[in-house]
Amino acid sequence: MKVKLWKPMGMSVAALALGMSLIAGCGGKDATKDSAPSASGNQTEASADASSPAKAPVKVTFMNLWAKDSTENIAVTVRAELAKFKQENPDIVVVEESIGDQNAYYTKLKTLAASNDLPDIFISKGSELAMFAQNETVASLDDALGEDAAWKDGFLSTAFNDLSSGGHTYGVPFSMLATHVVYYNKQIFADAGFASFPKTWSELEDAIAKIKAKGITPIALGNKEQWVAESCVLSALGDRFTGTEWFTSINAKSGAKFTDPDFVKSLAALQNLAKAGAFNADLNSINNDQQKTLYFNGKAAMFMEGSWAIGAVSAAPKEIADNTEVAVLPSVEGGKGNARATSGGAGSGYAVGIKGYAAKKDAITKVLKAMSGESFAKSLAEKGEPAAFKVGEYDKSKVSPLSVKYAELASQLQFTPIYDSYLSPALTSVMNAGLQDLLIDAVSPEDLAKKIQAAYEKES
Amino acid sequence: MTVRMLLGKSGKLVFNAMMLAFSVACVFPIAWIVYSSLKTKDEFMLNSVSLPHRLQFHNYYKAFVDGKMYQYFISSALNTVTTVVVVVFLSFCVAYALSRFRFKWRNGIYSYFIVGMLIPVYGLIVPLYLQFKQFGLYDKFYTLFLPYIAIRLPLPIFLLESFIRTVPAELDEAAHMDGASTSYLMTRILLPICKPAIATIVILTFLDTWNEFPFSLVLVSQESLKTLPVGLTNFYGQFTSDYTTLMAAMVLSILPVMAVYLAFYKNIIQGMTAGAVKG
Amino acid sequence: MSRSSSLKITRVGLLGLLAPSVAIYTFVIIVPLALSFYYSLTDWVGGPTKNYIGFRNYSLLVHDSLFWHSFKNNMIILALTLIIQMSLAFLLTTLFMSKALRLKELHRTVIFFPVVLSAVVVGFVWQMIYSHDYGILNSILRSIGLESAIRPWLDDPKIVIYSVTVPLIWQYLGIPLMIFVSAVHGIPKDIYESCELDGCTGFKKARYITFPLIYDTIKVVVMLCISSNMLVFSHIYVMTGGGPGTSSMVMAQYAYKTSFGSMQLGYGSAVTIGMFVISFGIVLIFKRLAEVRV
Repeated sequence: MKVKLWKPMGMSVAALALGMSLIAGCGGKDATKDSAPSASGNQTEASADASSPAKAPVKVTFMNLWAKDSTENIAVTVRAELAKFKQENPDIVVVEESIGDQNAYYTKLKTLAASNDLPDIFISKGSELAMFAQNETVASLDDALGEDAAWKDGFLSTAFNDLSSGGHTYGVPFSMLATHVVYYNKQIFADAGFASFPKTWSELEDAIAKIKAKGITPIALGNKEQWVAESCVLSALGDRFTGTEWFTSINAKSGAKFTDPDFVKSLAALQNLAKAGAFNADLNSINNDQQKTLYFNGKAAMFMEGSWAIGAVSAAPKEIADNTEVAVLPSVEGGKGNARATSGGAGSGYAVGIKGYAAKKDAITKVLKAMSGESFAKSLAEKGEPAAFKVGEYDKSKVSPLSVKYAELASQLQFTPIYDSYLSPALTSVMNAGLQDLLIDAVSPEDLAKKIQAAYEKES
Repeated sequence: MTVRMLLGKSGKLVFNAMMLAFSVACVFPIAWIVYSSLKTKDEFMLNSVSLPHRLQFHNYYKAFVDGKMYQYFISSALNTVTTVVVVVFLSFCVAYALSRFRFKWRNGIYSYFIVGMLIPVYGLIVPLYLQFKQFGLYDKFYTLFLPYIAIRLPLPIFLLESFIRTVPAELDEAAHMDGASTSYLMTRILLPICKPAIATIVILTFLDTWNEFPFSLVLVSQESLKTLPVGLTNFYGQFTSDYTTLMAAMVLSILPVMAVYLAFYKNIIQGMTAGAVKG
Repeated sequence: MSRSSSLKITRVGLLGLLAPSVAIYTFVIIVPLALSFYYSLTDWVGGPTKNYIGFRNYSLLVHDSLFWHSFKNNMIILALTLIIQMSLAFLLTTLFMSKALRLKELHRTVIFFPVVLSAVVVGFVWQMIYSHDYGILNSILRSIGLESAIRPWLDDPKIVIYSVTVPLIWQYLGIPLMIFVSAVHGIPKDIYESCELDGCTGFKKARYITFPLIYDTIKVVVMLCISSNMLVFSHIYVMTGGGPGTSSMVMAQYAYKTSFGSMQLGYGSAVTIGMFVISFGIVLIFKRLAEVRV
């Protein structure tokens, strides 16, 4: 046989060999390289004194949801504090990884969690944190907090609620947010004959009917991503009917049921709003950015979202921003809950992967303090963002008028649990999907309650 | 049914008008992201369909410089070009072997590669991460080469395999008679014939690799190794997104794909050097 | 096609051609797939313990109505795409050879444009088209007096799956088209010429020459169509998030949700493997059908 084969074969073998040697070569270097910090984010490698015999700096990894050039108040404040921290602690290097998109962020986080490879510090919602805690992939911070009473006691008393499970604290809060705030256009309400935001549920229904009659959508709702109706509406509305004890019992699995009449009533109330045409027709196919768009265009009289929307509303067209007031849902008839309450809490916090904690506890704790303590909280408050750490006097000159209004409102409110901060992600997803059906009358309140209860029972 | 048979002159006109409308529908989204990228954030918020009041290129500056898109560009380009070159080479080898020779495992290997087109990528993420960690392949400049090459292999193999089978085997035989080596036959005779198919493969592989998201998200963590689609998530905020900057970034990120498409599409159209294959 | 016996290759030569691809492919695709199958036999929820539970996840899966609902959605999308996209692509391919069509070069070029768009852009654009009050589609319907046909296209559970299929067909039409065109250009011109001399016209040309000669390519494209539509996820996710409720949920989203939402990695892996087995079954059925040459 004359056919010469060496050439193609040679080529592929060479390619393979090259690949393998690359892998092997670099794999070999890996061991030594691993302890050295890699440049990432806006952190540059700290130039530890080359002359001093001191040990190599400790590398603390920090994964967060804030894009590098993010202008969000929290991101800016955290980064400023980290820059300061770097100056003061040359022996600790914080290596950031930022992923801006929530879905992507949690996808990566859960992959790391499944491999017990969570970063030294990362941002996590309370519900995912409880899951990580159950899986023993995050460290309990009881010790670290217990060792520094001034730090621990500096936080608002309720700030740790969302971040604790099974009697242990797994997260350090940084800000306090309300997930339910009604942003309403007082001009549109005035035109419909309402000088202030309705005080009772029937008054609200009346207002909705009158606003609708004027051709304006009463409530802009963008529930495509499914969490808005639950987190920003139902968490507060549900509490009006059931009172907070009911949810405490649900969370403790001590008897309360989703099929309890009070909770079903709250679902019915939500569905009745939809049936009365309170929302835009495409409520399940637009997102929370687009619900604000409707409001900013003056096509809607109000929308419900968390306190994080203050920034966006302040930047809205002037006639809208100036006319915007904040409120919470009114009391409901026969409701067991406090009407001066809203769903809120820390929501998310800093958590610590268990893998690096034993060896780097001191460094990690130091970083946590820098990103949550007084100096951080003060500079956050000066930007108009409510911090989880108590702050004394601070400079209010740069705070937007709407933030001031919100601060005033929030000071009178009791914070009740945000459903999805406590319920497991699996249960939340059943509830969230069900609410979409509820809002288009594809399921009755009773049936949805049964469905949620079934998913709830499956877990215990 | 051909148009000529079915329709008269006016019918032809209507038909052409329909085609034109369809083409406009295909161009519109591109035009839309281009002009949206020239709007301000507030303008876009208020009306996402309208034309910009005043052209401003601030978003591009913001995307490219502030958002450090250039960094992701470099990484994406490195990964994509490597992947395309290696995939074309490897798939050509495999397709040649599968289409020209009979051997015991031939059908087995063929099906083995089919499998790869049916796997949801997210199902591979967790085990693959563990594997890469285990072998020290995590977060290196070459990390993404492996999954990118592997996941893109099946389609080119099928395309080329079916293409090479349409090329008469007598051609190979004749070449062998003349004393050509296998490698000569492959590179000098078969390869030019396969040009349209290879151009197709280049375009598709480039496109898919350029846009790949989950592997890049999970398998690397240094900023400098992340690719464009992951970089684009920087324009999403936790609660609000900066759409106009995102649009500008998207315009920049589709330019290379467009360029590759236009360059290689010509190759498809020009077709093979007619005559070489005539049986 | 003939695999002439005069073409021989040594074992080593064959190995050289195949081994590198098989090696990389095995490491990155098959090994994780096998691991995933192993996870599917456990009750893993992301923690340190994985208990072997045999095929219990699979027996749950068989009775999981949400999974079958997602499967049905995938089948609707697949069937529509196969029928509409394939025939459109074939029709356009033959049209590009006919003289009746003007501006061929332009059409050929721009039909591919949507392919390069990301799911986010496609989602955005089609929201603008479907939007209930301000959408282009409803405005057109209104202007031609078809008010009765106006629908909340993405908000009605009964039609949402069709509404999300249209953008998929539209966006990816360029791919089969490009592959067909490249295959057709591989057909020697003189075959058509001699056929034309015999009085063969457009339809016959397409039916008796183009179709049989690119039959293998069509099979590949159908395969591609099956695989991409069984795995479809992000476009629908961007447009509807799988909603309203779960009306437009597809299998890949369900697998993603179970694995990465609630970290039920054991069950999520079972969903993934289940999906894979079903897709493979469909491919096998298709292969059997395709053997009957038309």
